[in-house]
Amino acid sequence: MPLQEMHDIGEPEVLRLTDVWKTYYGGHQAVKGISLTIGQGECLGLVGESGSGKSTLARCLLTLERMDKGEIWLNNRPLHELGTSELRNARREMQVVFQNPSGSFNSKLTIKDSLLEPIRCQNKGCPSFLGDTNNTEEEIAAKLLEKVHLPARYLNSYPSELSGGQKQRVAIARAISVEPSLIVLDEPTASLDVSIQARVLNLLKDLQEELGLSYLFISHDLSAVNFMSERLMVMQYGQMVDLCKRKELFAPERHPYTKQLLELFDVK
Amino acid sequence: MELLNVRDLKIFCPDNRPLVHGIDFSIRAGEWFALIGESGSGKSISAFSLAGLLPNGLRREAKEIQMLGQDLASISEGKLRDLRGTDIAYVFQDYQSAFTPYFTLGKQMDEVMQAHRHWTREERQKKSWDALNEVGLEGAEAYGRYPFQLSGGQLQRAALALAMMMEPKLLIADEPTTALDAMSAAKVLDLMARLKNEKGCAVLFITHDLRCVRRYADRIAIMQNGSIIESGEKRKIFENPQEIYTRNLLASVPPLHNVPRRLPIVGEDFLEGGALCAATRNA
Repeated sequence: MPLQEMHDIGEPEVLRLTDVWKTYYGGHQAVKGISLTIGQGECLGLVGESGSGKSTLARCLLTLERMDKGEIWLNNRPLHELGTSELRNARREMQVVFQNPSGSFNSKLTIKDSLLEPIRCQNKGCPSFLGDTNNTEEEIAAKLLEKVHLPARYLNSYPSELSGGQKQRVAIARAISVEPSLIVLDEPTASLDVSIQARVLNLLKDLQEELGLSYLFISHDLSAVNFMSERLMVMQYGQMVDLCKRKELFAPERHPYTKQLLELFDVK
Repeated sequence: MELLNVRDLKIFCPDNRPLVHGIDFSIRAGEWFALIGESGSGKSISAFSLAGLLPNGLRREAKEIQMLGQDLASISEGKLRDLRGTDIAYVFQDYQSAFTPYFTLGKQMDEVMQAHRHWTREERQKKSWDALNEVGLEGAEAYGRYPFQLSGGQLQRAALALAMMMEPKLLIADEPTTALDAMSAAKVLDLMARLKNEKGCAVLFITHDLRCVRRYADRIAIMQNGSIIESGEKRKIFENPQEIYTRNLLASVPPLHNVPRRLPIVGEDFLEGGALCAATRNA
């Protein structure tokens, strides 16, 4: 099967999904037999319309949603076979940044407390990429903000005092703070305007190169996905209809639906 | 022929801080005029202010807002109310709030016609059905639906039907597709372009989605910090932008071909004292 060949990706594998199915209560089949792999340091792009099942797939692989059938291998550990407490530990290897930055912060916590929550909760110290391990919490938080180009004076602010783009930066800083193997970015720039989107996308690329991060980048914006990802996967009606390398996006063998998307986004 | 002529439009905060610094622009009958810029550049409030729809506390000043032989800057609130919903119609980004949740679409369309026209119940119903049919909804069925029973794309098309029903001369569309995915957005915009051509209505299109501007607009004005910094024919702006800001704004949409390593950015970065200028980020 030609699609299968596409899964052979040189770098060691961080994540492998095999034949994932999810049917919601009421009978709606949201995800129908999806398989994919993500390599170390790779960004896999996932494109699809509203309702294509891309966010459900993300929730399944984050084990926030119980799938009906399928396998999830994270760093060669079978998440689908783990019990609750083991799963809780294994799941820490994954972080997620959602579309709505306002919904991902507790409005009654300061930015500093929200930012440090994963480190505190996982009893981790200073992230290794910040160098000096003797940093105080205050210093760690300030350095994390600096990594996403935010001044430390926001540490004692509340989420409502930050703009959408700024909150999204804090969400990214929080995601990298525990040095996860994989970060799932579910429409991270959909609620931002074009100039802020450009900044956030650049930031994500900078961090990926600097820290060797692996991303699953989910969006309905083909041009953003194309900018971020080495490989692109297209979903429609819960199925994967296309998977290709970036440079093959305009190849004649693309799925008709992919071509339709290209037509929408490739405005001369 | 000019439909709308705006001269020296200023908008002030309650504390008299200026938000819009005296802009001039004109819209020709039947054209698609795009007002683009970042969040906070003043594009939306400028458009809202035309028909007196400013949020509480904001104050408008203008030498002239000429439309259809009337000066909107000086006419009475009553006359303005007659214009809104008939000659000037709005479509907003937030399609959820375009409709009252506990009224059917039909009832809300009926309300608009009752406010502006002396039509019989049958005439009004036929008009609603036709308007809904024109945006690709099943008129007779959608008429009895509540807003929550429609998807986002469908609801935005219904909002468009409502706006176009009274055959306005000017449709003001404020980021109508920002909350929709690419496919639904394309549907709404294609429809808007078709209705604009059929009815000869002009569109004032406010957006930061430069891809649709490139596809649909005739002329463009670029706003930055409350001023229009550049305007002109679409081709001229896209092919030969005069301002660096315009050039970088246009380039900040990720291209599908020749993907750059990093995108150019406009304005200053958030980090204090270290504004990363576009030139250094491109290097």
